[in-house]
Amino acid sequence: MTIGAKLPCPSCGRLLDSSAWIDDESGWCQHCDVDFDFMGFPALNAQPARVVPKAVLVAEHATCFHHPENQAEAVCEACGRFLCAVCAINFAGRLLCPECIRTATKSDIDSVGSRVLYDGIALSLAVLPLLVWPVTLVTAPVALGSVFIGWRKPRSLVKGGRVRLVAAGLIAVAEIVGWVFLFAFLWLRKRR
Amino acid sequence: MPKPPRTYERLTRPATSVGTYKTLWLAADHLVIVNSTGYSEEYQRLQFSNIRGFFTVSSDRRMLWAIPWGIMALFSAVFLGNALYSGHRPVVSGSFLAVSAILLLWNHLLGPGCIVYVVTAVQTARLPSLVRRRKARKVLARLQPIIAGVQAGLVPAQEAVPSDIPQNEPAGPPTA
Repeated sequence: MTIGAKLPCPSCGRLLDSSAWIDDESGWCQHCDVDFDFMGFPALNAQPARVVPKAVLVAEHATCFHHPENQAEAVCEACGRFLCAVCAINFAGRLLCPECIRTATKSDIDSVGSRVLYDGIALSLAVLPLLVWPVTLVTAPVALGSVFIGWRKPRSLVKGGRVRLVAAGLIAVAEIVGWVFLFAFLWLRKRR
Repeated sequence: MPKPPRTYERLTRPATSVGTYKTLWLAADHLVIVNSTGYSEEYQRLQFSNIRGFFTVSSDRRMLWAIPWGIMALFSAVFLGNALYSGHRPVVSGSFLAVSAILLLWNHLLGPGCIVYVVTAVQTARLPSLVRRRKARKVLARLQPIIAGVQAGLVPAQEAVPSDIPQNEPAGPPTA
């Protein structure tokens, strides 16, 4: 593949000119003295897609919700608003408006940016305090609470399953049962 | 009821950094870099249609890991020799020597280190979990046909822009 576009050096960030390329798959940056291998794809030389909205010519034309001067060319698949070519964005296989994308990034599986791992929190609260075991009197109920809270929350995007939550719950319950037995034993001994 | 197919498939094992570990996952139409602390995860997605290429640069990772394991093996060997010389059973130093030798060998077998960058139209981002040449070659060989297949329909520019002509750079001031 011919390297048509000018690419930045991965090491120093300066643009690589034609003399930097040994062939299409390797090169050397003169600025930072770094050899590199390159694997290129058709997007490197592809014609960038240009979005040109159509202006409203007659009053009967449906107009974009965000740009009244542009003709509507699509409908947002989430909110149903009319959109011009500029506002209609192909996002994770759906045609959405910018507002719906903003909403989607908080919840949608294809766009969520981060997640809290309640199973990791619960497991840490259940296991780590065992090193200083009296602390489990406080942490075991908290760990169990984390299991209940995390049970219905979205889990890791890439590692589904509730194995760690179940393990954390079992350990926390065992710790609580242990404390109950200990207190019961002490109470009975005191009564005698 | 049959289980639904997994959305993400792991491409690399975790590469640790300070307080976090990073993995690379493959989805139907994109890659995901997962940055995890164990208590939360952050996701960076790279759509196949946007990937222009991958840069692979050599790194000193193998040598850098060989230094601590080598020093540990060397000290263990000295203590082991000393213990043998004085007639003691070298249990601790022998164990340390065995562990450090295994780690040294494992580090060597993983192959030379590298850094892989993915290039899109707007960024050159590092793939933090691809740190060894062999693994990087394997992963990129797997991704190559998938990405090429996704981009098969892209229309190439009428004429490839000569590499000498800078793109997307503001024009300089007029010369007299």
